[in-house]
Order: sequence, then structure tokens, then C-alpha cells
Amino acid sequence: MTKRAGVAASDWKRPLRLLVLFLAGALGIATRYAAVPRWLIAVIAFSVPVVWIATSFELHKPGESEADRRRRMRNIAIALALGGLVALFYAATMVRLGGNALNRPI
Amino acid sequence: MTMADTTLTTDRGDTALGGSVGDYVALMKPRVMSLVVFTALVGMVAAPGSVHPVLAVIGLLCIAIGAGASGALNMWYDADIDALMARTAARPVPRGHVTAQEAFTFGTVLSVFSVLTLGLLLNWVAGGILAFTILFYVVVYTMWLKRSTPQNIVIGGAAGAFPPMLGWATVTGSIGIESLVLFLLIFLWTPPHFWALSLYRCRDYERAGVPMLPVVAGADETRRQILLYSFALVAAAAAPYFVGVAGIAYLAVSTALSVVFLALAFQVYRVREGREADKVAKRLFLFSILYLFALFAVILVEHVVARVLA
Repeated sequence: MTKRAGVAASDWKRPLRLLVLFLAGALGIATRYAAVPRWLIAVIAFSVPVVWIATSFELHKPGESEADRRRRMRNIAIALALGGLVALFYAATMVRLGGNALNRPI
Repeated sequence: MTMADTTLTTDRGDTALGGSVGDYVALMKPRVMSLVVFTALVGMVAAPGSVHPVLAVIGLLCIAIGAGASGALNMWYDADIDALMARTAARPVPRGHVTAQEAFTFGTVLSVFSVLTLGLLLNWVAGGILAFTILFYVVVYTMWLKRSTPQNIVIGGAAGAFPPMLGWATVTGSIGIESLVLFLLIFLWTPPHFWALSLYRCRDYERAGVPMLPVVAGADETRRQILLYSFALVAAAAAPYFVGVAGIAYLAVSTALSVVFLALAFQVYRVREGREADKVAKRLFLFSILYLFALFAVILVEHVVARVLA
């Protein structure tokens, strides 16, 4: 377990995950009774997996060599970049085609 | 010393570890990238018409990655001379954190990715300008001009001047006279900016064999050229107002800052001896960064305010 400014890593990760889950749950309930802006739904929905994944990584693992740590961090960066790329092309497709994305003759 | 020699003389143990994520970020020259993104954003905002915010962010991202890619390719090719200069010796390739081959691959992949994405998702005029900018910076400036002529940063400076045109083309799909004026502003800003730096980093460039103007023609000639280019710059700085890309607030700010710029350039021309000479050159170099940033910031603010009030 790593220390960050005197706080154990899991001590700050757990409340963050719970907060995002709580927001997502509250938003899910709110959409039943009120008109929630679509952008807010998108932001919360997107932040759940992002926060979950981001808080799953340990910057330092006990007993890990520097070479392994650097390789692991590079792999994480590549994974995030690829995930970002998917999100980017998805968003661009939605913007350019909108509701017509699935509207094509068979 | 060739590039291959540099790779051989780097710390083998460190290279074996592989570069950290931070090393790869450093390869992309984040500080240069931030100025590129900022000037491209101004070009985008100043352009007539509009583009969806998501596409605008994607466009800026592609321009940023394209700029980072050319930075990585520059570090690949210049690894040998970077190792000899104090300002650049701590870069990832000379330090041995990343091999020259890795920097080349990284830069090439990012270049292809950024150009294709910009072309496919925005338009091919912007994609074409980005491809040309990367090629110009890497092939014309880095590989050819930098090591062969004291005019290296005058002609090579065009690469750094393209971002506002890129931003403009991202929105309009064309190149307007207004974007050419913004190009001209950065193009004429580059020589006094870099020559001021080279005046107090002269020995570095001399050791690396880079024919910067102070090394080839001497410090006095460089000071004269700085002053001449400063006059041209001041004229170009007023141009955005006259072609309608900037308003009266811009004209007021640019006039005031141009007076200070000219005063500092004249001081560089006048003070030629001792530590004071280095000090005034450094002052001009730092002010030139603020100058360009402020001019583009005013254009940005003017256009944002106009859109909000419209």
C-alpha cells in the first residue's frame, strides 16, 4: 500500500469510488422524476469507469523493479490512449452522424 | 559526432530500463506544444463560422499531437547536438532514457495518427497543412537548414507559424488572408526571439556546430538583425487590426507592447559588452514570449466577447 501525503492509497480511493457510484445512482433515480440535462448524464456515466479504472492502478508495487514499473506505466498509458481514441472516434461519429448513425438502407 | 555515436555513448543501464511515461511526454516538447495549441485555438476562434465543440477539441488535440510528433522527430535527429548543449542535454535521448530509434518510431506513429485523424474527422485542408507543417519542421528545418545556414530559424520559423492557419483551416476548410496575417506575425516574431536566446547561448551553439547567426556573423550583426526584424514585427503586429481579424482593443495593446519590444530590441543593439549584454538579451527573449502570448490572448478575448454579446 502506498502513502500519499500521509494518507494510505486505499483511504482516498474508496470514498472517491463510492462518491461516483452514489452520483450515478442518484442520477439514475433523478432521471425518472426530472429532466436531467443529457450532458450531465454523459459526464457521470463516463466518469464511473474512468474513476474506477484510474483508482485501480498502484503507482508503486512492493518489490517491483524500476524496469518493470516503467513498463507497467507505459502499458497503462498506451491502454488509456487507446481507450481515449475509441471515445474520441465514438464522439466524433455521434457528432457528425447523430441519430443517422444506424439509419442506412439494408 | 553522429547521431549513432550519441546512442552508443549514452548510459546503457538507463536505456535498458526503457523510458518512463514522463520521458515520452518530454519528447513531445510540452511547452512548445502549449504555445502551438494556444495559437491554433486563436486561429479557430477568429475564423468565420463555427465547428461543433467536440470536433474543435479533436482538432486541437490532433494539432497538439502533430506538434508533439514533430518535437519527437526533432529530438531523434538532433540527439547528437542536443547532447552537446547545456539547454538540451537533459532531453530523454541524450540522457539515454529513450533510444533515438524509439523517439523516431514514437514521432512517426503520432505524425501519421494526427494527420489522418484531422483529415478524416475535420477536413483534408487542415490535415494537409498539418502534414506539411510536420514535414517542414523535420525535413526542411531540422535535417537541412538548422545545420547548414544562419538563416535556419528565419525560414524554419515558418513551421512554428502554421498553427493559427491550421486552426483557421479546421473551421473554414480554407486559408484566408486573415490567417496568413497571423502566420506572418509569428513568422516575423521568431527571428528576434531566437536570436536573443542565441546571443546568450552562443557558446552552446558554437560547441554543437550549429551555425546560428551570432556564431557565423558575430554578435554585433545579430543585434542589428534583431533590431531590423523587430521593426518588421511591429508592423506585422498591427496588421490583424487592418485586415479585420482583431479590434481596437488589440490595436491599443499591440501598440503599447510593440513600443516596449522595440525599446528592448534597441537596448540589445546598444548594450554590447559584459554581463549586462547577456541580461538585456535574456530580457528581450522572455518579453518576446509574453508579447506573442498577449497579442494572441487579446484576439481570443475580443472574439469570445463578441460571440457572447452577439
